[in-house]
Amino acid sequence: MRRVVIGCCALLMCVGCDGELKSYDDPAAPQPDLTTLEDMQSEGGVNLDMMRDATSDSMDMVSDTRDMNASVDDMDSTSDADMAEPDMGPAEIQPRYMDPDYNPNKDFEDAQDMLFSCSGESGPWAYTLARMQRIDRLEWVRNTGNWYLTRDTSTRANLAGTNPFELSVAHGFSTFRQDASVNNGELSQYMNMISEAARGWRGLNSWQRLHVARDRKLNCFYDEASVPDAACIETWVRHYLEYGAFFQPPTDEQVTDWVDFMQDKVLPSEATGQTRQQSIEVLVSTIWMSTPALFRSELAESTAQPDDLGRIKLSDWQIAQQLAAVLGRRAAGSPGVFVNYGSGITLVDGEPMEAGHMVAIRDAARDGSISDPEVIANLIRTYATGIDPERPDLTVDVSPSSREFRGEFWVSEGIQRFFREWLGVDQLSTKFKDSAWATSKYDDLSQFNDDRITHRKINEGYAHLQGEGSYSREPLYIQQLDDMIARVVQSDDAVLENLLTSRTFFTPNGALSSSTNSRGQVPQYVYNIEDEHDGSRANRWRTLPAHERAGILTHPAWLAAHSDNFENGTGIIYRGKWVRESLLCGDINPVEGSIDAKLVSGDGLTARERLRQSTGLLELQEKPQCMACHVEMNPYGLPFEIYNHAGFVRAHDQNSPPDGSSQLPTGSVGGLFVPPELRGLTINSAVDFSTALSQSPHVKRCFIRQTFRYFMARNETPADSCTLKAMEDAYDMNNGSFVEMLVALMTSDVFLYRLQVPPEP
Amino acid sequence: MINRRRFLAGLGLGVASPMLMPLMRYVTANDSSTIPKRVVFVIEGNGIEPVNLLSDKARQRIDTFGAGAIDDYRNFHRKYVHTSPEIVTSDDTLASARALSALGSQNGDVDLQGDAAVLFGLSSLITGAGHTSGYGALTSSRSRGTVPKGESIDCWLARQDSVRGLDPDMDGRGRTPFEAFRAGIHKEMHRQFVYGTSAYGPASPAPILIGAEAAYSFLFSSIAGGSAGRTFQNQGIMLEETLRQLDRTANQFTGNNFERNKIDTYRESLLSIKARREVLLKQHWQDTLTNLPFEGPDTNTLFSSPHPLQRLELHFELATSALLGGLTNVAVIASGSGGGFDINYTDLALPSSLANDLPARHQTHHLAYTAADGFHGNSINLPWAEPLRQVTERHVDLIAKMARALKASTESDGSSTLDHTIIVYMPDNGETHHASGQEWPVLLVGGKALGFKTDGRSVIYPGVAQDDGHRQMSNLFNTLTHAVQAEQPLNDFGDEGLELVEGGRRNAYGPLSEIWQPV
Repeated sequence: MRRVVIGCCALLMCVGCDGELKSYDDPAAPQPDLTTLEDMQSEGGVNLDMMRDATSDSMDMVSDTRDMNASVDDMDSTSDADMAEPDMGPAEIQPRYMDPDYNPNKDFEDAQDMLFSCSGESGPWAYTLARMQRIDRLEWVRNTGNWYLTRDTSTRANLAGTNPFELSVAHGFSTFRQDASVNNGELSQYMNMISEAARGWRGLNSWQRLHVARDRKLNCFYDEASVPDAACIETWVRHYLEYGAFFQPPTDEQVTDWVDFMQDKVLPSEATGQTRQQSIEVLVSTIWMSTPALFRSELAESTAQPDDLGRIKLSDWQIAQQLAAVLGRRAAGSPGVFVNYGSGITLVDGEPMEAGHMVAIRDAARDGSISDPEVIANLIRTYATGIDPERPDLTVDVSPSSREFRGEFWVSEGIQRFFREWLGVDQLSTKFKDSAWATSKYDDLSQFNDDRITHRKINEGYAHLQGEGSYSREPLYIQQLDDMIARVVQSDDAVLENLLTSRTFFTPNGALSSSTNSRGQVPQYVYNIEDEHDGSRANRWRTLPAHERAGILTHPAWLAAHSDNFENGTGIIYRGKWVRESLLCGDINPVEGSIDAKLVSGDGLTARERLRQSTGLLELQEKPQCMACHVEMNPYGLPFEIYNHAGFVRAHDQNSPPDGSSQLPTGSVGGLFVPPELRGLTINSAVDFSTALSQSPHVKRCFIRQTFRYFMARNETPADSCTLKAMEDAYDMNNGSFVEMLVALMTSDVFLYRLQVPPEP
Repeated sequence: MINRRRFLAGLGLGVASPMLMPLMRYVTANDSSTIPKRVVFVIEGNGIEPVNLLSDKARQRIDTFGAGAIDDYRNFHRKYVHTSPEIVTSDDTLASARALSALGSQNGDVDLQGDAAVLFGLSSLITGAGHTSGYGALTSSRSRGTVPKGESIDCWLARQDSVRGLDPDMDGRGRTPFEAFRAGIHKEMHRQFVYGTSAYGPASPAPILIGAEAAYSFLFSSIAGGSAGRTFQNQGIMLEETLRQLDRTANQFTGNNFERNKIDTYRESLLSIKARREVLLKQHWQDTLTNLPFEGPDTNTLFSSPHPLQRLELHFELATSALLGGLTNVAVIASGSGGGFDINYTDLALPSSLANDLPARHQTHHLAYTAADGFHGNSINLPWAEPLRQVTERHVDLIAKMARALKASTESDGSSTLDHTIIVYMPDNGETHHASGQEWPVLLVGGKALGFKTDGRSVIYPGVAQDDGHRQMSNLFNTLTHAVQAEQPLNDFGDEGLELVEGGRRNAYGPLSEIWQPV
């Protein structure tokens, strides 16, 4: 969809921007033909940022409204030809920027307030259309009962973890699966490895057999000496579909399909030498090619009747699978563990692993209690977070000895993924850091008087925990961040504020010595911690100095993920962009193709100075095409210049004192938006900036919106305002509880109901 | 099946054995306008040390640049202080390089020095280099980690009509059944396939087959016996049953069109795989597959070899067969690329002082940078530099064997198949273990009929600091798009995709005139 593009909004930075400003007609909303920034500013206070934000929001609205407008009367609007001119929905959500009296400073609050206003005017388009959501790589591994899957680098995957269902983060959150199906390339790869789904079900004597496959009633199916009759096949098929593939009781039609397939198409091959194990592989593989296994369906059963708003409530099993998927990235009741792995392992819900994962959710679906919101609430509270030194959440993939190196707090896999994706830290492993120690106190190693401590070793130690390759059992930076977040979420008290301000970090063992905790024996100095210790949890949890660290935005994982190779590189831009987009819910347009966005040469210059020379940071009139976007990013990135590109605290910055100062815009220059509570603030460093952000109501609401997006797997619209308001109320009334905010969402009608639209005739 | 060793030995002598006649007649069935254009990428994970591709004459030339002699250094891109490309013309000395002896005519082999060229000085800083650039090497993007940022050059080439051919005729001829053959080795040799090197597009990785049987089955399962053949047959019934149930789902579908589209997409994929199977089962391709000189797993000892480099040899042979048989015109041999470089090379010819303690590649590199007894850390004289040299040498050995097989096969116009095939040997990160990305040494073999000036030259491009004269790997990829006469060749490979692609760092557009000219 085209949009108004003003200036060059750089993913990198902008210098020498000679391209003309362009405007495009947005078919969704007619706009003034404004061709220059000056024209924009002369339009009586039309706010560039508001237009862009409103356009972005309206595009989100349009996207979802387009989805939800496909009522029975409007079926034609869902055709591809109609996608170019979607219906924007009720008039009351038309963008406000068209109003010539539009006051951006006043109306920005309306724009976000509108999302939390719960005016009562929801309408049928407040609800998500019923979807078929293809499972992703992680879910496939979990649901087939495999283990040793993808860790933080793909090179650690076993065969099951190499299934092709990787979801593109280009879609936003990985839960967004609007167009995910199985394409040609994926299918070709899939058929090469699909038999891994049968690993735990292949036979009596298979040493890798899942506990759930050991039921005695299944033995007749495994007996190579005889051909199983229909009853035996049906028993096995019914059991496998419920506990190994579909994770709910199969329909009679489904059972008949697979019994007939096995009898008529598969078993006959045993007459020509095919073994029973091979037959089971064929059966299981084909089941895992079917849509009930690959897709999580929200489509209504044929007997379901819509209510007055055209909604149909998800069935009990659909609710269960939705809950399990967003919380645990697996099916409810997904298989436990292979027999040879042993027994006696307890999961987060206190159930033995042999029983399967998230079985309480499954059981609530089975007995019908899951339709009770209070039951849903309790299930969320059970599976969201906890504290357990054994780290039962990691038992599938991480050895006990390595679990000792992790914190004792846990969050569910879905919650962990939310934070990783929101914070954008998955990209950390893709970053290459030249001289990770540069400008830190470790520039000068003479202080140590120890030949073992070299820059090369510091770099090596840093790279080891970045995720390129795990050379020790020390947790990766991203895992350290996971544990820090888990501690805050588990405490469930003022969660966002604590995430942004906590000084309690989970640190690696910084020793260079012969400590057996670190096989790599290289220094881990990124936190300025050098003492050798026993690697216990008590010693890993550190309260860092108040002037050095405060919250997740001062964590090395986040800092390094949002910067590049060099200490005076583009970190200001990346970090500022993230704050703008992910904490202020703003929108930065991609850089124009005609713009050569490069920093000036960096020899001897600080990043701040390079940026100033490249984008005219202070000379707004000099490079308006660059500043139109960079003014929205640079002020929010400058505070983090007390850290280098790798997340080390700077001791100097090109031989000058580190400078994290920033003047946040007042909101009056060019009508650019800033939340009122942040306007004109003088910032000293990332520490007080994080504090200011933590106290911002606007930031809180943006965080709530991000949470909604991930767990609802779609963007929010004004029609979701009652749900968003409920989430905010739950958060506020429970002293900043993230879990109660999730409860509010997942017990809402928006989560539990879907619009069912028949296809075009 | 024709005995593999006799076949390959015969090719090496340049003698067309009677066994080859059906194959040669098949190849020459193409008229000159439809002679396939083939591209092979051999990509070595974790670096190719430039010294191993450095001929005596190229060394002498670099020593004159004014930045000091190379001496015993293994990488030396900081000496590229010249301002325009230097071409060291052919004088049959490529084989003098430490790892290029296989190009020469030792043991009576056909001399390949006049079919090769070496490139120095190409950079790819956008990839971030390091241990590996992951998908970055072939996409000219920052794509380490799990998400490729763009389409890799091999995937781009594979979907060009000028490479793959147009719609097949009734016999399945005219278009290769497979868009590409991608196989290789990895530190986790037990895996059947891995990702990390090629990509169909942004966030859409293409697999690299690691498993010997997996790679063999990929090409030959339609004629295979034993377990591979059974798997092929069973896949047929799996596809049929899945299509049957999917059609019923579609007929009963109650969702909206967006969701229905997912069903349709899946259905199209199933039909596509089914169609490929049907093409392979046509008599023309069955005969081709049956007559290809390749020894299957039942008798071929390479299948069961525990040595990674012998697995690599197997994949080279599969690729050669696939190219000669017209099964595909694009091959990628990924040798530890995409992060799987920490391989234990268990069959190198090393003295016992090294062989007994040879670690996997990562540690070998670190040992090879350990200065001792007066050697500096980048010296060819360090003992642990030898295993690294041998690894590169083994790759060149295999490339030479492939090239000779292609050279012995002729096209309808009398030119060799090698002339219509360009083999590109490159690293996946640059010039060393912790690469800067400032130099990516490249060996080119073949491709004369495609316009490549593979006449024994070495080309030394100015270093990254020499703005105007400097060139990048994306320029090499542009060259390939022109060489295969794509309908819309590229001058800006790496501009499409997600963020962090070559665009922002591009030094120059277009192909490399020093190594290619239009034909």
